[in-house]
Amino acid sequence: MEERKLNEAESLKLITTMIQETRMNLQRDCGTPFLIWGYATVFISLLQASLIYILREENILFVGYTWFILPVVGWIGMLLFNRKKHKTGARNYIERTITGVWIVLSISFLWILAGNLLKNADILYFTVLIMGIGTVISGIAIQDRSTIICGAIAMLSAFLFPLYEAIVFSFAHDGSLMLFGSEPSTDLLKINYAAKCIIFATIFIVMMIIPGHILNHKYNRRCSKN
Amino acid sequence: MFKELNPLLHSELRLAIISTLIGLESADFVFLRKQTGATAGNLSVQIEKLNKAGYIAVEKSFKGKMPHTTCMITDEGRRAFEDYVDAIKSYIGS
Repeated sequence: MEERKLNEAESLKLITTMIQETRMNLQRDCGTPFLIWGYATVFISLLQASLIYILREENILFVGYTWFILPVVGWIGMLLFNRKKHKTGARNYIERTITGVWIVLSISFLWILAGNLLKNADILYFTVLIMGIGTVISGIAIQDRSTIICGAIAMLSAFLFPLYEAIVFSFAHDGSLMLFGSEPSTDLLKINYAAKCIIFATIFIVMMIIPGHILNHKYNRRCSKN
Repeated sequence: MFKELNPLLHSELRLAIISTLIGLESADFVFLRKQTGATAGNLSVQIEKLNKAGYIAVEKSFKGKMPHTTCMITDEGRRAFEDYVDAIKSYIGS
């Protein structure tokens, strides 16, 4: 590119091309954060569903602590990704907005965790709802329909948890709590916990892994064409 | 009535720099060189001209031992770009 005068049509074409190319170059790998968090969450959920059967009964309480692996794995992945991303040498406003949204949502998640420790708030329901909201907002910001739809499906799916509990828990005539129509035994509690982990993992596949792959496929293909 | 085209923006490379920066919070020299395909020397000269006109802000720092130049469009640059696009439209529309 030289320092030459342009005619009006050339100017307009140049402006359009530069704006489009800049946008495309920055959208490369934009699905990767979804994949990092999506795969990490699915892995931890399935690990929990397995550990509940593998661990001895006196150690079962430790299963819940595996959630703490999630932020460690997620943030290490994000640090590595951001290091690579910042090598592009440009920052845009959308990226900053999305980062801000996810920081606020992560803090909300910590509050849910605190609420869960204090009083048994349904952590899976709130987590899916909050992450679904984050996915929808991100989808709106990057103007991607598949991300918006997957996030909205996840938000609606959050209701599966209270619905599931309403179905599997009931009360006997004497007022005692029943699980799957029987007295809650260790085996039934294990099945219940594993089932919720599997539902959680499935929702994360829909909410993060599917849109993550769609975004990377769509934008990386467009970038390599240019 | 045709609007006058801003001579500072009515040049291929300077217009490319401003068009790139318009959608960004900031961009470094390497990114701008990649986007515009310009030589380092020519790009430096044009960045300096836009900076002197107050259309872009330039921050010079070091990344390790390497010099690092970051450019940001200013409010004045944004207004000049909008006026330029309006002027272009008046030519194209006629």
